[in-house]
Amino acid sequence: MIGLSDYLIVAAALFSLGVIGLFLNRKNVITILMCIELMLLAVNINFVAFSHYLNDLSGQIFVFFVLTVAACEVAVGLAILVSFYRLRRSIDIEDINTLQG
Amino acid sequence: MQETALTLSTTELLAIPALPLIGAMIAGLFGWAMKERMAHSITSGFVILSALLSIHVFTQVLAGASFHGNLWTWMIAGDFVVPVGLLIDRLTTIMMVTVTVVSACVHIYTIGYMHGDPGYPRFFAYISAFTFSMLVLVMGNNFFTLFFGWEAVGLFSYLLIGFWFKRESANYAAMKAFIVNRVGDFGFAVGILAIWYYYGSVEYKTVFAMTPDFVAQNVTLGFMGWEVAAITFICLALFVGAMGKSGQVPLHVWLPDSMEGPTPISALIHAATMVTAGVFMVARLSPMFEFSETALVVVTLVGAITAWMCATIGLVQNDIKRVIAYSTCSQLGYMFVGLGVSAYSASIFHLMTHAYFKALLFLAAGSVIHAVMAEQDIRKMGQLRKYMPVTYITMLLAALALAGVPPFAGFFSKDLIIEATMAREFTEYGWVGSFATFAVLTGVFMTAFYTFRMFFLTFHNSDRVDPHAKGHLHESPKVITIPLMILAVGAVGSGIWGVTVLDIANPEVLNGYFGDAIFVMDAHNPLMVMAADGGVHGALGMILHAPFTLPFWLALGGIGLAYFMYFKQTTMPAKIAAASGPIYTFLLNKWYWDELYEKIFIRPARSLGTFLWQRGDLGIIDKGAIHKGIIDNIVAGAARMRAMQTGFVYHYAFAMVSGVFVLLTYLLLKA
Amino acid sequence: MANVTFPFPFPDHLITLMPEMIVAIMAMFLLLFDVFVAKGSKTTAYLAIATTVAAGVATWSLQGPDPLVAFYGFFVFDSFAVFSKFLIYVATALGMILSLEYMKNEKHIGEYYVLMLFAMLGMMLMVSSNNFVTMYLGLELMALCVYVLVAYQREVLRANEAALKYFILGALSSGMLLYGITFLYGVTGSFDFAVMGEKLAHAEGDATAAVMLGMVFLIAGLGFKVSMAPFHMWTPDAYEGAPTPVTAFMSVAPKVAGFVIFMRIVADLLPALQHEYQSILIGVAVLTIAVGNLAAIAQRNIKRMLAYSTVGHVGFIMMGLIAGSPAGFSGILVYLSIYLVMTMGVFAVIILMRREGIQGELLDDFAGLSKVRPGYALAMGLFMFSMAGIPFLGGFWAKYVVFMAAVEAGHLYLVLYALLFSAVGAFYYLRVVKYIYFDEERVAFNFIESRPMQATVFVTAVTIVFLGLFPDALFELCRQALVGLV
Repeated sequence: MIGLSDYLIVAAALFSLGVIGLFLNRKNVITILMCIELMLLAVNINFVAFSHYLNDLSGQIFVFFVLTVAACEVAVGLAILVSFYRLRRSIDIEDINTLQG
Repeated sequence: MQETALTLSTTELLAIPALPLIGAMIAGLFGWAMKERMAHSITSGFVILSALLSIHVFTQVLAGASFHGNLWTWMIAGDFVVPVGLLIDRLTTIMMVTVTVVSACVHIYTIGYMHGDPGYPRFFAYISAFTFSMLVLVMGNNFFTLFFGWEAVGLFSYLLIGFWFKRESANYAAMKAFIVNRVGDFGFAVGILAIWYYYGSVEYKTVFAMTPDFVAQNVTLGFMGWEVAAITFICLALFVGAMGKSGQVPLHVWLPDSMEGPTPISALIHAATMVTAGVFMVARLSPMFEFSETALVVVTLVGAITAWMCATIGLVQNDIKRVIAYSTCSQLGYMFVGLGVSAYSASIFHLMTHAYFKALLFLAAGSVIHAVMAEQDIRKMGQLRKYMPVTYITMLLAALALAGVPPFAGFFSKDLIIEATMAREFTEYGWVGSFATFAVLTGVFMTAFYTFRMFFLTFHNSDRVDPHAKGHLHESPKVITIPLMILAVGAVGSGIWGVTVLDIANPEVLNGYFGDAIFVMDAHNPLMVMAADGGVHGALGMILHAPFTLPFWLALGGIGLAYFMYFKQTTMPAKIAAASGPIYTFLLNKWYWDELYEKIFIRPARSLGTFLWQRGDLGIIDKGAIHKGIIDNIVAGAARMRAMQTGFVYHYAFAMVSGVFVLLTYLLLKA
Repeated sequence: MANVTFPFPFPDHLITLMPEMIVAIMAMFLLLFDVFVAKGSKTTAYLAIATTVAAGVATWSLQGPDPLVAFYGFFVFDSFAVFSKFLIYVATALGMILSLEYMKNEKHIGEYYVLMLFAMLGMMLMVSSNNFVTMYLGLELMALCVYVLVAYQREVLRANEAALKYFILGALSSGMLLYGITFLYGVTGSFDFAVMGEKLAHAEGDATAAVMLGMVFLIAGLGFKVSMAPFHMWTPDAYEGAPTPVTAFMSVAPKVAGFVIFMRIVADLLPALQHEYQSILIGVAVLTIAVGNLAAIAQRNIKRMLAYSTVGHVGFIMMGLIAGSPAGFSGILVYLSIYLVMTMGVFAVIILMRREGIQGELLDDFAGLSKVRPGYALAMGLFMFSMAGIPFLGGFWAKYVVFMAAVEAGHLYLVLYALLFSAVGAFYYLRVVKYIYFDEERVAFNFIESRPMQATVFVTAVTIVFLGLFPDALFELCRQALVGLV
């Protein structure tokens, strides 16, 4: 029988993967966007799981909001990234470092 | 508003601080459009008027009037009420007169001294505004007006020290003064917070009235593992503020450096008025300090150390203003010793006489500096008495007063402090009393020596003036010499006047002149002890008695030694300096306080700031370590946390995640 | 909850949202208006400023003694929200005024003001939210607009870099925030603060761990928005890279919204966990105060310095949260109001000094300002002294109220620590004054001459002095603003 905790563990694993990917990954920003998406999906799994086990619909409604906002977020993020690429000719994370100190 | 039998006019009282403020505002806001004449006439006129009013109020209070009341409420926020009110009693009026009279003299003197300076109106605006702040400080009836004045005088002191902003050293000195004073103000703020916390009021009279009960309740607070009586904590915190403002060891370092400011400022702020704010505050709060023997012991000890140490430094300084500055520190130390041994009236008396003769010394030194083309090194002066007789004579009077030679002003006040110190015995820390006695006695000798060393080197000895400046030598103009003469009257007469007219030293009436403005417990009233020993006499009595006391001979000895070394055997000082080698260097470098602070505080603070800021701090973070696996990553990451702003997003993200991780671990472990 | 019958709830509800609707409709209208009518002229900007005023009027006309509730408790309009909304309106309007000259050469400038309006709308929703759904939507609306605003100068590399960093870390923080919310939801089965607070008080066993998890992630996510250490690291980079008016805007308005939501959460959601959240916040405050005040010392760029100074201020504001008392909360509002005025004034001066090539951002650029423009110099000096907490300027009272509240709540040591660091902080504020007053001019000044901005400097400077001398009216206002909350 698959219980609530199993869902939570999967979500936690996904979330951790997302977070760790965010700072372990040194290649490019697209990966970061994917990691962010991963985190948000983990959140959604949590919401749905809780919602199901609590018999309360509001958690699932929140999921829709999260999905919508995540889409907007990625759109904005990609737009900034494109603009950055035009100037820097690179989307390597190591190259985002002129501001420091 | 409650008033006592003999009423004082509120309007008149308010006019005293208001006049300098109005003058400052006019000169400050419209100074750019004014001729010099206009700027100084307005500000000086208002301050002189304020001085005359102060003297009038003084005479009324002497006749028995007093005033205590709230005039209006500054703000109400819930149960927190800050009233603005005045407390005018004998302690206040003596401060008011001292402040306004010295300020008026300095205003007049400045007309000549700062003539032609591009910031002329601004300077007058500052010193008038300073006078206002100082008056608020002394006239208020609660801790908030005290705090307001306290901060405002600090601000103007900062602005005035840095007045000649083109000098790098002036900038540095201003910053130093400000920062050291922030340390003191920190203590002061803590003290006031604690008062509000424990008493729920900030009015002097209410707090004083509650203090005996408060002490009887034995309220304590845990502080770093010790149980401290709350009253002691409050008094000591406030005293830290006094140490900052009044240049007491170890917060004295800013005062000598503040001499980078124009000389009138040194006279007004860093000799006569602002630096004595700490002394005034402790005397004002005598109903609180009296209940904490620990606090009194600390006050005595700090005062004694300062009095002694700064006197030793003064022995070898070569800058005319620095000699006087260290002497100021040292004399302030005397005042704190006086406070510590509960001889508040003697301290305030010394504060007053000191204000006159020290302001005079500074102004006379300024007159000298003016004459020798801004030279401050006494080794490059000499024989100046031929050129500037008025300055010579007034400075001689001031020097005699400072050295404590009867019948000049300093003799009476200093003698009272010394006798009180010898009479007072602390129940617990007995050694502090003995040490204080030692410090004030040796201090007398050193004071007399360095004062006359400076005096002889400046006005006698051989002529070492730069030939270039020689043609310029002349007596200063009247606007400079007249304030000198006015102050000279104070330097000569204020002592006798205090003892005879004000009856300051008379223990028959408790505290003599001050009455209930100062509270002393009978148990440790040194004046009572002295009276019992038959030690206090009238003015004439004190003078006649002087030759049978040690301080008198110490003072004469100091003068004599100076005379011998700088008149007769002029080669001797160099020989002594050479022979005493390290001690001489030690003193010349002011006991290495600045170097000590540089090492302990300034450098670590600076490097910590740099450390947190500098990207990477590459010595710690090896970029190559990243790929060696997760373990290495965590280790490197922990180090990376410390050098945070690397500019790399993944470091930032890691910091955030680590933050969450730490908080989570903490909470889960705790639960 | 409002007394509305189900089938036709709208009229009652919508009136409560009047300010929000005005802003939303105007923002959308201006988007079209700029393309078809204004075509990049300043008319859009003026209309946007007018919109903030209109929102202010609407808010004012709606406010009454009783709090209004709309959408079944998802949206509240209490005096607390009203006060914070006014702070947000002022911050946005000033941000727009500061942009007038600075951004005038940018392309498609109309959208810039529309974005500001949308960001404002997001914050308005945030401060009115009584529920995680509304809060999240408001927060994201604000955040997404601010990301774009930071990157608005598309041809400037550092602006793009700042936006990218801000975006990545912002996304991480909202991920954390949501993850925290899921656990709190899992324990309580609701998103409403009050209902959740009730249920959290009875959480036991396994639920406790979930609550702790949720709370820590929640604090981290919100802490990011208000720049608490160690979640502050985006702040200096984003502040430096962003166009200066945006820096001004984002250093005030989102902080207001963030702290308001923090206060709602602390008051409604977490009262049962007071001990836990306090211990967390104390740790965070200790770090925040130290990092902000120390790192600021080593800065040469004034925008970066102000970023760290903001972090320091945030640390001080947190003392009010830690106190958790009405006095602490009203102290936060006092602090935010005064902080708003000081910060806007400082940035106005910085923008006025913008030069060709150099942007008047280095501390060196301020050298000798007092000889050229004594008025600006005086204003800047006042702001710096006020930020340093020198009595008796506004900034002193700001610190005073939160410190007092913390002392009363028994956090004496924390206050001593904070006092110590505020003394350290005085050093770098003072250094600016030193440059202005005590140094010689190094590079020729070339000021922007703009009446609205000069007026901003003047008004903010006068306000700081006025608040320094007569703070009690503000204290009273802030206390009354709390009536709905505690």
